[in-house]
Amino acid sequence: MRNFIAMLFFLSVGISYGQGKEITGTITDSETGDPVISATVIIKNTKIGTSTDFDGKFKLNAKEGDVLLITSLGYKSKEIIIGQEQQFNIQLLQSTAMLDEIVVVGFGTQSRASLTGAVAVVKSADIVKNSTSNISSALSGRLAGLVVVQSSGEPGRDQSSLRIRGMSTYNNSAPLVLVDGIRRPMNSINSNDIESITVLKDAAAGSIYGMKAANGVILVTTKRGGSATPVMSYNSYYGVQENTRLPKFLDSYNYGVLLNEANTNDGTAPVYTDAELALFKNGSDPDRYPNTDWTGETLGTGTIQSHDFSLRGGLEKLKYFTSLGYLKQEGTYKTTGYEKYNFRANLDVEINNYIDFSADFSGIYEDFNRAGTNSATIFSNLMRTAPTEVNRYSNGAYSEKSLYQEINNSGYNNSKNFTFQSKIALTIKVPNVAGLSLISQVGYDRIANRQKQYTTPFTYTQFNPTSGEFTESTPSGRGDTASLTENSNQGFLRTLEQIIDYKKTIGDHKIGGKLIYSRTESKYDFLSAGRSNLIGNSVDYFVVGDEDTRTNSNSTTETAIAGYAGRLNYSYQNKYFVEFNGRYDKSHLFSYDLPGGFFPSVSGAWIISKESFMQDFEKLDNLKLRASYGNLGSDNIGRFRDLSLYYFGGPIIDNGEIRKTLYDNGIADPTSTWEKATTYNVGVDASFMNGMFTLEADMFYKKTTDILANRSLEVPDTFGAILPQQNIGSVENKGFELVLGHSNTINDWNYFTNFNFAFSRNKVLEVSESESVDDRIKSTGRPIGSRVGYLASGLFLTQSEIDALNAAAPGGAYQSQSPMPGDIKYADLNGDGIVDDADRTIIGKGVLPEITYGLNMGLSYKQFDLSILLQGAANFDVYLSEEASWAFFNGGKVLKDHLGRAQIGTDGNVINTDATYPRLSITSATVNQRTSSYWLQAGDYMRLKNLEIGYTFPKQILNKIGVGSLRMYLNGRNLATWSGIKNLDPENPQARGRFYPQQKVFNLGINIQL
Amino acid sequence: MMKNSKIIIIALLGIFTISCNDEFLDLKPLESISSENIFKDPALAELYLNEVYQGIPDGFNRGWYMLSSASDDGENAYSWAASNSRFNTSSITPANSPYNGLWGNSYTQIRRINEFILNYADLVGNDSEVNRLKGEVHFLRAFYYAELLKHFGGVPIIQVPQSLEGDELLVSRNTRAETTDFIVSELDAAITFFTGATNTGSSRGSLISSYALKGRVLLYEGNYSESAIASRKALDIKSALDSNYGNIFLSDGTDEVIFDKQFQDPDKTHYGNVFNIPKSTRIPSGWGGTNPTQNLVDEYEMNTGKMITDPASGYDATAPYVGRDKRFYESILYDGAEAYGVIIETRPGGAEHIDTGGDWTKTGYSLKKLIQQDPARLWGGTQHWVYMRVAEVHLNYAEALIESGSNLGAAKASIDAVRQRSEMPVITIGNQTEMRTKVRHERRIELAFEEHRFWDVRRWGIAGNPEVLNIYRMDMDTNGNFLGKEIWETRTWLDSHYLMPIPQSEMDKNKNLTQNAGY
Repeated sequence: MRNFIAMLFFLSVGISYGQGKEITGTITDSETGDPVISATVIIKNTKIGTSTDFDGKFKLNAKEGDVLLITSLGYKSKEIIIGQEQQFNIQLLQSTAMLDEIVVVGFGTQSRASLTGAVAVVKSADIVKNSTSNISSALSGRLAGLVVVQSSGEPGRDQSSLRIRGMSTYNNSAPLVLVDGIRRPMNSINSNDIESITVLKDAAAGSIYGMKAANGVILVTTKRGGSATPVMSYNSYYGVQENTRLPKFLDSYNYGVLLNEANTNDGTAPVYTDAELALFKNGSDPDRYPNTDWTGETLGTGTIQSHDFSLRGGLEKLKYFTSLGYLKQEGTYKTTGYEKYNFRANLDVEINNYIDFSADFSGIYEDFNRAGTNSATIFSNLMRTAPTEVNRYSNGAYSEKSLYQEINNSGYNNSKNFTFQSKIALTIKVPNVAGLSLISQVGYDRIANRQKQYTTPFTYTQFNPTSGEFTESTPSGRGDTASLTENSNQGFLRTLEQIIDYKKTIGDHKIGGKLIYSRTESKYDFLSAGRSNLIGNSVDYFVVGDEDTRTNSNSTTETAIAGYAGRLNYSYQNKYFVEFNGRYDKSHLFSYDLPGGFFPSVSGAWIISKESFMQDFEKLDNLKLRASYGNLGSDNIGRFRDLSLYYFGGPIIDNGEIRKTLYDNGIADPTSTWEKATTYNVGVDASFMNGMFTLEADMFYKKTTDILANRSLEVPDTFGAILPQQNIGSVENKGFELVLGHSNTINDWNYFTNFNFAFSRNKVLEVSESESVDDRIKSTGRPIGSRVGYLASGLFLTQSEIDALNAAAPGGAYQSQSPMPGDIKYADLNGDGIVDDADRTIIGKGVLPEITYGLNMGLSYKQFDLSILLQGAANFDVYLSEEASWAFFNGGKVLKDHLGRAQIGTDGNVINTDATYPRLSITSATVNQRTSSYWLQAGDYMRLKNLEIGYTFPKQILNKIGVGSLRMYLNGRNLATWSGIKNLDPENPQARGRFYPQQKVFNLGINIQL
Repeated sequence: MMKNSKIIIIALLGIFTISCNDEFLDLKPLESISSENIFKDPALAELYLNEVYQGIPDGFNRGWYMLSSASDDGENAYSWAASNSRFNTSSITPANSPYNGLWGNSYTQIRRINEFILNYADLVGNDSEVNRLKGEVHFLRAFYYAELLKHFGGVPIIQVPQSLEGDELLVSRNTRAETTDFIVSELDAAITFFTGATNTGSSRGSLISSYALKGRVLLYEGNYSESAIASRKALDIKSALDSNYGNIFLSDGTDEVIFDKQFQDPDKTHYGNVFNIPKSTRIPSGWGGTNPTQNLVDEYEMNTGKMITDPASGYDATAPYVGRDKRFYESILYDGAEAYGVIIETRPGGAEHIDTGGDWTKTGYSLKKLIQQDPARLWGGTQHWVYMRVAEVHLNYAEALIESGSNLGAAKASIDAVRQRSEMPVITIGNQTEMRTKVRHERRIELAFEEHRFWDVRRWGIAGNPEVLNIYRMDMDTNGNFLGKEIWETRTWLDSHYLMPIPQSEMDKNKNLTQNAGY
């Protein structure tokens, strides 16, 4: 918060000298109140200046209208315009970009100045600001090179997928996530507990995590105890959420008009008469001629609230941080929601001069409430059901098409997940050997997850339009009885680490080294049972179930990985840095008989600005070059693929008996090893005018080889077996990141702006593809996940155009499926006169954005603060088809966009040559439904991701009521989105568009500290 | 204090050393077994074969449609184009062919079979048990190759599991004759093993299913005399028909069934019901699914044994559904049929009305045969899919005799056997051409919706005929007065569609494969 909370108190003495006067002042740290020693105070644009003494005091001659520029290492510079005052009490804000900032890195911390790898950090204040129920979504736009895609807004399921520097393998590209050094999911952590999140982007930073680091590493660090004065904090917000963007469907009247047109185009009779269309329009007979706004009538707004209570402080030998958190998020419809309870106690004890002990305990209890009908079904129906169907009849009863009963009376699907996390560490500083310490730490996490699905039958009302009677009915497919399934998943993850750490400074030389042994094991037991034909709809226990319908299953999954890692760093005069990292890892996923993998890296940095020849550049505080090279690994393989095994499967029904089957797990390959990523990174960090301007730039090249894949693109299916996972693929990925920062303080105004931009582009180099695959659709040489389809070249406008192409076509048909004017014309890429499979090509850009950026701006004035985060992504395409894009698809409805359809005149040709959608048709729409570039849209978007306005109450007032600090704020997330994709949120999961939409959130929040 | 610290350090270093033991990384799978015993123990070997049986597709779901919708017997109701439309618009390509999956699946199963045959000499057990398993595996190899032959023509014959390194993986196609010969030799091997082996029921290969399949394959390949012999052998084992036609498809274990794929709730169910139950405003709706065409409806004779076009048949165009072949009532839901506890109304405006859009019936008819009417079975069908039954063997036998021009009397006897079960008058014997018409008619009616018509029109070379391509639906007024038939759809045909294309992905990978003509 210290960036934004201006705490400048000016005491003025109203004596004016007019010309030249002696002014005095005291400069203190805005946070601690300690005096700032040897800060430079100069009158701007002159050589007149002084510096502060031991008490932070200074004395200077100046005149009214002069500008004082106060600078000090580690603080933001500040400008003060001299008025009539003579005496100044000036507080300086600590600079976040300061060079001695401590950054969490793999197995330790480093000062930012000594970093040699590519590392990005986000601090607690920015994480909390996004007020999301999960951590991953809070990272959007905050970190250069982190691609964050949030493709759902469903409470408890709205976490984002994270990709560091895009994708470098066509297997799983999810990064390794560690919370306090232990492999743990990050999303369920209380965001108020987080001190910082570090993203390790290159091999130098990541190779200490060896075989798991190829996709990058995210280190989440929680808060620890602090100073002697205990600080009790209460942070809370309450907000309202609404869907960001929903499709714009047409009303009944327009639906009817277009449906008639589609039928006319198909040569069949119109469905609605003009009189009926008029009834749809005037709404006089809503039971027979309704105009239902399905999304409007089904979806609503939900609330979100968060309460966090923490106590942080220290005694002589003990530091503590404890917290309790609660979060509750409602859904866009009533029966979906998420609740989360967190507790944490992080304790550090100094046993004696040589031994430190720390113990961290935390727990998470999550409660996921969902309707008996899953959200995909609900949204699929919303996307499809026509406005001409009734939701609720005039007598108040819900129709067959209504989702009211599905949402409210279909049972439930609840998950209750409990996670207990613990970590105990003992640090021994070896006596008589300065700088040598031994650290032994054990992490033990347990999960106990339970899911219960209770599905109940329900009724709906039917209306007979002829008789006007209403009757009760049971929906098709639900049966008359309830059913119940329960799943449980229990298990543990155990991590043991032994670390030897050594640091020594000899004159200008600093050396450091670490040796690490790490082993991680896990075991999870899964159990599932179910019964159906339950008696009644009120008891949700197996005891009322039908014995003949009993089902049950169980399974166990074990994992184990062990590694030896090391780090050696050396620096000279804090100017030249060199660092070696390496890890030897062995995983149960590969043959036990194989040796493990070794993943070394080397990196260096040179702080040029410290060289004597750079001292003339006064405005340059820091200029640093970094370079790194190294290898990382990835264990992207299924379990036991090195062994030839048979699993039990089935069932089959063998003459009335239920029988098992036995099937093999495919061809084993005991020689397969991990994927290997070789990464090069060069970077430059610069800071000017005492941190007023900063720059960070990185360029990388990453080549992943030995990608685990099978030869299915090469080996014919006649081979017949599941192919082994082998080290065959190769992908290269390159790109850059740029972070520009500017911050300044002018009198009471503090402001900062930070812009981050990242670009990455990957290319498949080798995928064991058969040579005879047409070049146009080859995966090799193309980005991962390239789409194959026809290239649309607009719409046919006239029959003569089609006839001419047909006449020239060898078989008499240019395009199969007998297209008509208004249908999509596909390009004949091979020029043989006909459009067939051979004309398919790679269409469009990839699925994952190549460009991501964020613009973070903040401003504070006296008690007020404002921050804005704009976030965006570009260079990717979205393929929208079926419900998300096609008129009348599967009996579905029509979008506003379909008004731009090609209209057919009496001569059979298209009237509106600027049509933006093909000819409407029910029976022959498939001609337009081939996978083609027609349905691709640029996915580029920019969002106002976050906007926050806060007010901090003056200390003088708070002191009287015994409150340390109090701030209230208004906060909004996803307030505005700019994108060419108008019908869905641009981060939609593509294709059918049936998903729970992202949420726009408005919050009112409070931070109190005692 | 210092002393304590030293002890701790020593202990810590000790842990460090001990923890370097990495045996805990050697995890073993907990829920699987290794291959050593599978081909020795008949009980395990049988489970292994069960997986191969599991791979046999059922006809309820050929990709959201039934195959009869790709023949002149049916149309699919869905308002979106299921892949049957690719057949009906003759737009099958090597990339989109609905049978692309069948190629890969067949060879997956064939590899399993080959592995079994390679090792089955190791089986230890009583002879009748061991011989049964050996018979079954040869039957299965014939079954899968017969599926490949039917769809693609001659295919690469692979008899030994290939190894990824050593073998030539880019196999070439064998000829149609070679493939046929191989299937026949496999069935002969199966017959040898099955003779004297324990025989089980219809869900596993058996002596009769081996003969029946042999008769069918040879019939399809035009080897009529050999086909007739094989079918005769099957009929010698079992020739009686069940008395209840409709029930054959709804009950497992009826006598007539020779080979089937079975289901049971809750362990294994299919979507055959929900796909095909008509859309309705009053009964639990299905998705409409397979709609019998007017073409097929008109093919059902009157119970006088005469076609409706015959003035002497007794057909009344104002009461078209009265007095028809008994199988009509067991197979087709029409306006006025009783089902699901209601009187079906497919007339315009009716509760299950004919329509051009939605999931409503496109033809005015819905499927009754093969479908369970119990609403509890809507989403989980438990009726079996019948691959082969005695009535088909009778008709295969009759057709083979007629085509070979020998023993038309025996052909008549087999056709009559099928007709008499449904209380239809026996046929009068005629010349080869007349008998051909009769047996083809009988196949269409008796075996409707069992995936025969699709192949029959191909092997008879009539798939491009106007009567097969012009699809009719009923015409009815809102009062239920039948007004005749009207054209619903004019389908197209390409001769290349006699065979399915080899999947494009397979062509891309194997330069030694030759694509079927016209693709």
